Amino acid sequence: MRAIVQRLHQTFLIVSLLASPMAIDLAWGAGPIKIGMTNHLTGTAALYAKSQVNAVELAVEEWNKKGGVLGRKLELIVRDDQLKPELGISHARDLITREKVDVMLGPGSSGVAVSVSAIAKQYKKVIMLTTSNSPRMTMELFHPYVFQVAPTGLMEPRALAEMAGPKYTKWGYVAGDYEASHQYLRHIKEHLGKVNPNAKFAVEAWPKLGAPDFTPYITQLLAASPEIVYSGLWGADLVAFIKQAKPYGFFEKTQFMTILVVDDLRGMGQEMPEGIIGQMRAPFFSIDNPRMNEFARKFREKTNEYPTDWAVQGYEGVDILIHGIAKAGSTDSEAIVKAIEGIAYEGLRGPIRFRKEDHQGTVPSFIGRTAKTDKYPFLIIKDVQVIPAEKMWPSLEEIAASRKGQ
Amino acid sequence: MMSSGPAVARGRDVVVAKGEALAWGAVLALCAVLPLMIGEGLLFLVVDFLIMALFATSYNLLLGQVGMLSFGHAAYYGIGAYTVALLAGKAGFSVLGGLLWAPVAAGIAGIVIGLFCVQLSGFYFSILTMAFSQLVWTVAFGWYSFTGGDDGLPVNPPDFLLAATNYYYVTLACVVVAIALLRMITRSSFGVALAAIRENADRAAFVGLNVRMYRLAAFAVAAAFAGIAGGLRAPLQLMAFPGLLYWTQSADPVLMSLAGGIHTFVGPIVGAAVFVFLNFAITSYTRYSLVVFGSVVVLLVLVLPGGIVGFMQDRHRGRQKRRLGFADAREKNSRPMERP
Amino acid sequence: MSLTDIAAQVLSGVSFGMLLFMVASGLTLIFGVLRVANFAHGSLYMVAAYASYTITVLLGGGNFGFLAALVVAPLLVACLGGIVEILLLRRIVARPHQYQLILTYGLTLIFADLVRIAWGSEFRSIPRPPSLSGSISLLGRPFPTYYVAIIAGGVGVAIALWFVLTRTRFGKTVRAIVSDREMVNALGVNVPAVCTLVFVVAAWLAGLGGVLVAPVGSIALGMDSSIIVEAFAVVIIGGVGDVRGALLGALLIGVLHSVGILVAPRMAVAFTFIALCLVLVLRPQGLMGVRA
Repeated sequence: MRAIVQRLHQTFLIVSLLASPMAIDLAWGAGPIKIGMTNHLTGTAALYAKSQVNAVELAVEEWNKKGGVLGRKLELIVRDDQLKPELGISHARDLITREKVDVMLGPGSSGVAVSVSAIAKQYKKVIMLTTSNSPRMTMELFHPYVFQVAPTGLMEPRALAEMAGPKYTKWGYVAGDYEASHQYLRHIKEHLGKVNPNAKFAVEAWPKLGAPDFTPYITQLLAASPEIVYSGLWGADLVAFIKQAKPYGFFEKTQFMTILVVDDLRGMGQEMPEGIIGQMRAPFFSIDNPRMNEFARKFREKTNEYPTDWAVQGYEGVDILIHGIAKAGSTDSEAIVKAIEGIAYEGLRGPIRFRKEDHQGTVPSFIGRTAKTDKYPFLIIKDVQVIPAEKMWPSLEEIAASRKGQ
Repeated sequence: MMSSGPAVARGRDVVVAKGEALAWGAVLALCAVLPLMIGEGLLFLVVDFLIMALFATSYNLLLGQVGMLSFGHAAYYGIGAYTVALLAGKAGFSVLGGLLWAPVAAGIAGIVIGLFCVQLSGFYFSILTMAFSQLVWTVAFGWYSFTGGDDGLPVNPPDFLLAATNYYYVTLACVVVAIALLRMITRSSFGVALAAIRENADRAAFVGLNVRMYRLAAFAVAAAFAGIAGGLRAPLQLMAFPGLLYWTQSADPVLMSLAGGIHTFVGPIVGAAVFVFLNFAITSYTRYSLVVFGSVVVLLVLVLPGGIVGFMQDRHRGRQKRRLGFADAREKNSRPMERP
Repeated sequence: MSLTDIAAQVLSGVSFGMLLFMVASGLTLIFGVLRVANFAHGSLYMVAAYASYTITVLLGGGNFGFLAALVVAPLLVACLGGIVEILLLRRIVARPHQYQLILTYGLTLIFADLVRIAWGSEFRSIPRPPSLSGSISLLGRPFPTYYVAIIAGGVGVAIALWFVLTRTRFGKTVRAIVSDREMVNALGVNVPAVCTLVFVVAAWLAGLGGVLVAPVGSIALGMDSSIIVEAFAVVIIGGVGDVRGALLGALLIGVLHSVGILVAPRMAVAFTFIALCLVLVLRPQGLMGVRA
């Protein structure tokens, strides 16, 4: 989803994060089990990646405190792909061939994930995609070593169309002008057609990523007077859009609905309008179970920050990988794949299982309305509807159709 | 520099040429056995370097030889990559077969865009090349059904090209041949004419050179060779993607050429080595890679205006002059521009 | 699509055009006087936006915080510009222009990372000053008060620049350098000093743009490169060294973009570059430039 970013030249950043000091390793010849991760530590979306790396570190530390897995310690190696597919490829190759990592944790952006996953396929390494959510990864580009713990760009639009479709007929759409958001719109339209045949998109606005000024798009949207506007904007772009739209009375004139992450809620603070419909991956504040509560507490202790959606997904992703290794009893890729396929994982978002056909994890989508709270210094989403994966994911027929001719 | 020097100097040139041939041979021999010496991971880094070396050398045909500061060279690099991806993905070509067409497509694009660009000079030329490359980028970025948009266009090389060693040898062969051709071009009468245009376009026109045609030809040739580099890049990355065409990518060959030294043939190759390897090393140990990188760039401009190779040559000449005991007035006044 | 809809689009284009003008006018002056394509101009704009964030937060927001930022941040950036000019650019002023291009390009990398070190990689956001946060009614539609202020600011800058360039001795020297540097040099004018002063003024203008844009959007890494490409386009389209051209070019780009998205929404990214190519091919000296 996070597509392209302009940052210059080729630089490589290697952050080797050794977990807690190693205890004496008694197993013969067994060094640490290595987990390789590429993510965009620099660039416009670096903030998201940072919280994810923190959460993954936390999980690895926890395991190492318990003595590691298979009698071996765990080591996490993180590389910066700067949101560039070419860097992602180089790092993935280097992680596998030189660092000899045993498993991989996917890059944050879909554009990079496609290339990194191709490398994982070539070298037969298990790769867990935690936040990148291109539907192609579970459909036409699927391979046996890839697993997905984010709802894909096919599932999320279906969830929102399912939820808001019946109530609104005149729609507007605004999203960064890149391929994933065009596909996203296509999926919304398809599903809207099923739940509300009268629903129509009256206007589409396609600002470019990182646009300094959204006002022409705001006036363009308002001119069509839609009942609801769906936004695929995120991060700095979403904040800029909301701030610029406010003086136009945008949020009074139309219902605004957007993908949302904890970082954006936090970044906007009290400037976030109330009553916006937000679609989230993992709102820690509205998921109440002992595991999530404990994780949120530990995460805050470690980083002094609130756990973001990406943090939750990263934590679960690496945790599943390690559970898989434990269950497999080895670091052999085929054994790990078998183990994860049969895993019954109790995650922070709830139980996660993987469908055998596409390795899609049963992860839900959370949709609610922004509202003020006295518990946090930012707005949260309330009256949250949890839409389970089984309601959104593609049917087996759809999957088979997408892979035809591959 | 076209006039013949004193006999002593000519004799020295022969020695230099022999030494140079030996040096090239040694480098080639080293390249040939390299896969036996280093691991797969490093080998990919070397492939990366080889491609960038060709990209930068092709670029320097413009900057160093003709003095044209193009800021849109990535367009042809990217077109080369997309040619391979499109031919292999949609027209049933093999990856290597597609590679043959990469320079053709990039060269044609170079002729078409060059027709407009060579009308201008100086900074206007730079900006127009950049504007055109951004237009090409817009097409690659937005035309999803043809180019895959920002998702990129996957390339699926056959298994034997996926192995690091095999792809290394393919790249090595292509790059060596291409660079040798570029070397011949710069030494040919065509190359000499280009250098004359760089030194004084008016005078070159006065002695009967069709300056615009020469500049266009140089532009197209440089584009074609950049296309080969791009064509080699796509199978390495397993895809062609719009980032290859973006204006920031155009900065790479400019920086590499200037760092290595634009007035020498090997300068851009050395520059590419510095950028690919040293950068890898530097940034392994710091989180602030851009500060380091930017400072290196600024320092190079301020301290080593002739680039690394230019600097070493100057020192070498200084030593030689002291040893020979006479100062070569000719060299003092004008540095031979196209000499390695 | 009614006429008022189109008018609203034009108006939103004008307000962005004015912001662009503030950045581009400085860029074109540097271009004309120093003969340097200053990539780092966008960095100065970004630094000012971040500085105004810090100032506003320190002073607790409100009208006062905004005013303080408006005064202090551009001055800070102007000083920064002066340092860059004296320490770095001045040393290579006689070199071919690719070296200056590369030097300022290197500077953008350094600034980008320094900003990241100083302010972190998360984006920042500050509210508009209370007295400019509402909207007025224009053609029966709301129009943000803040944009009225930006447009007024842009007009003010344009008038001030016009006055300085045509009515003062300094301005006349500047214009003379733009048209014939060697001549002015021969006349015994202290050209390096004029260059520094021009660079400082230009940096101040970039800073002003940065402060004004901060409450509008989000303050984020990458705002440097997104503005500099547009600003370069404005400079070329308007004619190098010509402030009137920069004004025309900035308004043109702003309006072209805002109206263009109604006609061809997916081509919006290309508008600037198409305009740039057309101008360079048909009228390389720019709209307001005179053929050399």
